[in-house]
Amino acid sequence: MALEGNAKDFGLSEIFQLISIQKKSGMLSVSADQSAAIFFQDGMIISTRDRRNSSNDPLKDFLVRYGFIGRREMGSIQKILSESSFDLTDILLSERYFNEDELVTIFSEQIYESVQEVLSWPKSQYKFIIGSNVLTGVKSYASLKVEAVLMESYRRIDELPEMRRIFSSDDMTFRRLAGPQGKKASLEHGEETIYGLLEEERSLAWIVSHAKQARFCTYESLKQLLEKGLLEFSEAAPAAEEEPVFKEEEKGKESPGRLLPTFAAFFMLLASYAAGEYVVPRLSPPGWTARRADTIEAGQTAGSGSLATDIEELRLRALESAIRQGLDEHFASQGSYPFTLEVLAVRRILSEKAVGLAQHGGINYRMGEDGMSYVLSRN
Amino acid sequence: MVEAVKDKKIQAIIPVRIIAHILCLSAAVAICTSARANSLDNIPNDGLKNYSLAEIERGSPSLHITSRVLYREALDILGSGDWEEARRRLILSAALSGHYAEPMFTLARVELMHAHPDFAFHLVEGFKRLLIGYRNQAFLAANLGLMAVFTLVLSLFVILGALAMKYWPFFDHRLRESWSKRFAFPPARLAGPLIVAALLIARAGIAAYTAILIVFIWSYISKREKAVVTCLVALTAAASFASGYSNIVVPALDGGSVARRLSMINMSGADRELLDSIESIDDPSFEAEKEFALGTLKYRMGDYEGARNHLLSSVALRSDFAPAYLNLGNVYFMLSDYNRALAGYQNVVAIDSTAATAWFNIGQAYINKMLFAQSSSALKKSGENGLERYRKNHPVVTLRDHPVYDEGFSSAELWSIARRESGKGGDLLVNRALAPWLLFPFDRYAWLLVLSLAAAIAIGRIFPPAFNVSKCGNCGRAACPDCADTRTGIILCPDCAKVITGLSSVKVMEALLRHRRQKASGRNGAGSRLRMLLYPGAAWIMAGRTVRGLFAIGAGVSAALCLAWSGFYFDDSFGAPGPGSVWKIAVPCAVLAWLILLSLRIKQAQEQKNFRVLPADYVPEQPEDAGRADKPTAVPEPKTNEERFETFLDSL
Ligand SMILES: [Zn+2]
Ligand SMILES: [Zn+2]
Repeated sequence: MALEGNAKDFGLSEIFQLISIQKKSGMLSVSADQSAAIFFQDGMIISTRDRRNSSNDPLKDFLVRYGFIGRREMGSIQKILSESSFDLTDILLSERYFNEDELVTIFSEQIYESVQEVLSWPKSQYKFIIGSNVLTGVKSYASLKVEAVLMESYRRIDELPEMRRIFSSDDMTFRRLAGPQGKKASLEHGEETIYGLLEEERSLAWIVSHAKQARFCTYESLKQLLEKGLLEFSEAAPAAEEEPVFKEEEKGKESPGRLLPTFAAFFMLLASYAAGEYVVPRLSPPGWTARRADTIEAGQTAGSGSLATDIEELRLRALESAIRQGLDEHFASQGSYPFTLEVLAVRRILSEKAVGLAQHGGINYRMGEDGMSYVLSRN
Repeated sequence: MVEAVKDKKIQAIIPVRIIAHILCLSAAVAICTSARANSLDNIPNDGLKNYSLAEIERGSPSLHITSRVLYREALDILGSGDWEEARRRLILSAALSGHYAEPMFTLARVELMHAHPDFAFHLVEGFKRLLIGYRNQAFLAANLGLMAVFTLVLSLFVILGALAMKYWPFFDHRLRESWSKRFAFPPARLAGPLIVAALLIARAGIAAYTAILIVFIWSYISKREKAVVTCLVALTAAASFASGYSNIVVPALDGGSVARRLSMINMSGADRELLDSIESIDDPSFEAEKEFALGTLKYRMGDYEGARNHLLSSVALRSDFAPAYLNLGNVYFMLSDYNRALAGYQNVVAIDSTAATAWFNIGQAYINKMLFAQSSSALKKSGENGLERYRKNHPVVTLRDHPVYDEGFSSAELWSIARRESGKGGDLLVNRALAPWLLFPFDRYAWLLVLSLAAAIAIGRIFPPAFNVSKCGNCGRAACPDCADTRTGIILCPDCAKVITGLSSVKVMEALLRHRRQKASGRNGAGSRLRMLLYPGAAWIMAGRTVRGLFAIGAGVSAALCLAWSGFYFDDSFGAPGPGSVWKIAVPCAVLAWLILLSLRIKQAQEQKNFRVLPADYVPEQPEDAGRADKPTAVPEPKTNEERFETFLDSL
């Protein structure tokens, strides 16, 4: 069964609480301009990553946006994802980008941020699909209480306008100050990370994308550091902020001589053609050519003595004796020799092909007087 | 009637199958006897009958022409649908010539189509007739020999071509690398095709290409493939060494040869024309045979005086010439000089005691001398030594009321004449037949092949690095020491190595390598399927089943030759296309289609589900990238790829 409606009529937080109290499992999909999916198991939030929509993975965005993983590394991870059936978290763990504890922290942070974002959408449609079968394939490294997430999210939503007022522009820059002695020990983990990043003056955008924590947490830490007097900021943009982009220099392979090798290749083909045309026939024994002789040399009539070893001549002689046999057949059945060789073809004693070959091969037939004899000769 | 009653009685006791056998047998016997009983009276055409009678009158041992006319008539009748009449005509045709095979085959075909039990008998008889007589034997030998030689030469060429195709990527890889080091243009991928094109344009002939292929692929191919190639080369070389004997068949093919002219006395009746043709033989080395032929012809024409002179000079030239003694005896027999006749016959049995005709004639001579006891013993010996066979091969003797039998040239005699006649030099038949394709004398082809094998082995020994190209352990593409990656413990091509660079998890590496592997094998599968269509059999070579490929290519080549020649190299029949010509196309086409079907079914071996490419004990190096959780110490690695390759080879 499904539960759906408009967030205006029945607030999203009420839905969350309902699911939590009833300890439901399922997927809550929320759509406004964008869409998001939140997975619940027994009333706990376990993930906001929708496997069916892998191109829009909130965890991936989170990792890149806050500098957990460089863009280039994410590119190679992306390639692995496209060529295998692994989940992003599998690769992160097996490639040891993070250990399990770190992943749990990051995963939870990402859930916090996603829920906070969803709750801040002014108007949205929601749909809750109940049942644990929608959870198959969902990888989770955290299981968060709905109340805790809601409280934290609303705290952030409430405090965000104040933060936005302080950190009004991404271009504003921060510089580290040597703080009062002995106060360093009181820095929290997030503050320490950011303090460590600011070895030189950095813009807000740069800090956010390298802080390895959610944007709100970075703002909070910066605010704390400012309040502790460890930072100062200016609105002016410092020069040469951007990391120099290393472009792979395309080595234009301007060859020293394109003409010469082309010419050489062409010449090689030409030479081999010439070799085939002149050298090969010259090397083969006399009278041998790859092509069949166009004209059949005047041969001796069968019976003149020497054996034929030329295949064409041999074939002609075989044809000649076949014709003699055919003539005898005609004589035997008709009582006389035929007027022309074509008669043999008409009576189907010889094939038309054989008669044609005889004419082409220069075998002449002449019927003798009264058809009782014949003369077969070659020219 | 008695037979029928007997049959019925037996039927009650003996199983039906035996009855069927007996019936078949008796039917066969009946046909044999009916064939024997066939006389010229069964010839419907009076002109043909008279011609045949005249031929018999002229002493022709065989009515070959009559047989051919009857055969063609039978085909016409068959076309009009009266198969029983056609069958009678075919049986008559077959009975009148002892070595004419076609009527037998047509008989077998007709009987098979009408479920007549004699078809097997006639089929066997047809094949037997193909082997009878010098001319039939020589034709068969020439055609089978040329088929074998062509098949050998072309199969070797095709197999080498298929192997070259299979190992082309390895050769091409080396070529591309060295080419791209020196020249930027034309692109390295065109270098290989350019060289091949140049070679093809030269049209150097199969001999040259075969030699080149052997030299080029030898170092790349596997041991089994080397064995197959060596076998084929050895067979071809043997054929090449034996090619000197090929000319022995030429006299049979050449209608004007001495052997063919002499053999005509076995075929047709004696007339002036035949006499002239034999008298025009002017080669002194065949004088004895010529005299024998002339004597025999004159004997048949009834010119006993002339015959005696010729035959006497024949035996004077060749004292062991048995048929001459026999026919000389016949001459004396006809002159009623029975003692001299007997002396002639005794000479024959002294030379060959199993001469059935001689014993038969001795018997006839004794009858005329009223010595019946000796006569019956001689006739008995004649029967024991195969007089029936003589009668079967010379069917005309039963139609003629001649008291004694004469002999023409035996096929052994004609073979020996042909050997002497062809031994007078001249270009070899095989050389001539292969010349347009091979462009190299076949009798010296063996040396070319052996030389190129030696050169191939020598080149492989002297420049091993040039051929030191191995397969990528993952995708199977070429990888040489210059570009291969061996850090994982297997040889990986640059592309495969790139895919897993920087990864630290074997699981992920395996997944990515599998992906690449499957992509590559899919591409290869489609490619080899296309290439296989070029010639059947190559697919087996590609798949590594070399021996099967050898047989498939051999069968494919012979089928293609059959198609190209529409049968055999030398076409014996210039006659109108008979029913046999369909088989000459249908059978090779069927063979080719079958081979293509079979090779379509070749499947590449599927890998197991949990197949791993990387060695089991492989531990990936940990790249020192920022953002990694833990960084174990890097494994010390060899400096260059060359060294890695060497250490890897050593580890094998
Ligand atoms: Zn590879
Ligand atoms: Zn290489």
